[in-house]
Amino acid sequence: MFANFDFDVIVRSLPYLFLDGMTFTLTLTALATLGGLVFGTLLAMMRLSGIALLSLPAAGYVNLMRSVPLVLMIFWFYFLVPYIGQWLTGAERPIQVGYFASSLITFTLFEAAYFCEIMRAGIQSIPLGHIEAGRSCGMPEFLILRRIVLPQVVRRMLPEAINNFVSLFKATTIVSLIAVPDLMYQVTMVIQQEMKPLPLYTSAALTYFAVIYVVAGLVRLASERWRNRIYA
Amino acid sequence: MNSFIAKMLASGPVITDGGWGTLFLEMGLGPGELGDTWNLSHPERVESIPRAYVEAGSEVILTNTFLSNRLTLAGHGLEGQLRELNEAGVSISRRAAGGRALVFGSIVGVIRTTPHVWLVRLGDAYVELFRNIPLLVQMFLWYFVLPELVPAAIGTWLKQLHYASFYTAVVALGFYTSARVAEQVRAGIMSLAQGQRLAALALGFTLPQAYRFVLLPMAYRIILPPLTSEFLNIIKNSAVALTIGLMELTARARAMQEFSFQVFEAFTAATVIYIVINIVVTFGMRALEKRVAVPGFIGAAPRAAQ
Repeated sequence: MFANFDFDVIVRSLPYLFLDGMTFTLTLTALATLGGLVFGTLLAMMRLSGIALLSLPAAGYVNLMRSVPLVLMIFWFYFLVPYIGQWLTGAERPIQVGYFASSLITFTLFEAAYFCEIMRAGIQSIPLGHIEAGRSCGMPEFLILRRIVLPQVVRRMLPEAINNFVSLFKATTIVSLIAVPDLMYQVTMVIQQEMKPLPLYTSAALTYFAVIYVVAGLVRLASERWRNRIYA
Repeated sequence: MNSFIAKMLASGPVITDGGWGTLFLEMGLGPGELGDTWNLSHPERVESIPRAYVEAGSEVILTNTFLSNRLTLAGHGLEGQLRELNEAGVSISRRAAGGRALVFGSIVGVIRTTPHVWLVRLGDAYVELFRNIPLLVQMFLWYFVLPELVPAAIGTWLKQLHYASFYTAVVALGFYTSARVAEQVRAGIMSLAQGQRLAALALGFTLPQAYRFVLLPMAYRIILPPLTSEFLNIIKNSAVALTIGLMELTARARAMQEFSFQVFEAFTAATVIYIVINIVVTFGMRALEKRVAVPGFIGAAPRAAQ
């Protein structure tokens, strides 16, 4: 069954695959998470503001982003971003932004929609009584936010947010479609040269599995500890 | 179910989980003392009770194991004796019933510790495997790697299969989603009160019957909302199948754009279709939720754990 499993091809292409490919995948994931966090917080604030002019567009954006496949979004932004750039800068021709910027913008905007929902759920899960209790103890609003609201919001959000990070890491495989040199794209390129799908796809799968298994395990451990500390 | 119980009773007295705490108090059980420990310390006192029941003609005999579960035993520092206490309790009642009884029952602690541990591990491995590999990679594995792994003749047949990418996509999406749904079903069952399982087993359901008639009907209702989003996910995830050459909606939009150079028209059409499908599914599932709701139960219950 594994008679034609060629380990040599993995060793030969190792630096190319895992240094270049993995670095790119991780950079993209990390930057998109950061961007999504910032933009997502903004969206959550808009949705919770109670001002229809702010909350309706934010809700529409989140629902649109969440009902369209990521693949389609990648194609959208791949073609759309140059025109948006042209419109923003007033240039004569569509601006070429390159694959990295294009995929980073897509993932940031996509992640923002998901983070917005996580954040909103976290904030809404805090009982009003906690804030009232803080007030009746004479705490100033800022202190209530820092000592009562935020510690709980962060704890409730963290497992979900890291789960989201893990799914983003998995989802970045899709950028190989627009010839972005992430891990999966590099694997495909090597396969086209070497014609050996078996060892390469298998090792790619094992790599993703190992990384995600470890991260997901840590998340579970951390979230259990956090939960115990909330109710301790 | 009545005929089921009748059938069981026909073959002799039935033994189920229970306890005789009040009778023990009369016999000198100290306050705070755990009656189940008498299975080991005073078996003769325990045995006198079921024997009296049998002599009086009773056909349903309890075992003295009601509190022999992990939680209660841990409270008394006795969790190490879980198995011992349950086994002793059952064998006492069995002796009293003359050894010809069918034992059904909630030796829950024992069930959840030893016999099923490998099943549990197998399930965990399955979930971890399919949940932790990106869908795209899984599609490639099924499409490119599987034909190389099987014997050459089958491999060739697989490669030449008409519509192969469609079947591959169905299989890949199926396995990927099944792992996620498995997690939700587990969460749903765990969110049910433990008493439901115990009650089912004490009434003489076998474990599969308890799942089929008691636990799963409730669990599925509880996890309907997360199942809805899983349903929406699988629709979105189907777009990944374009990587193995399946001409689904996104791939068609892309082909349109390549032929006509009308990028925005093509992608707008695809986007609108996805949104419409989403709305239809969401409303359909909401209607289903309403239809299958158990009055006064699910509406008040909190949503299932993630």
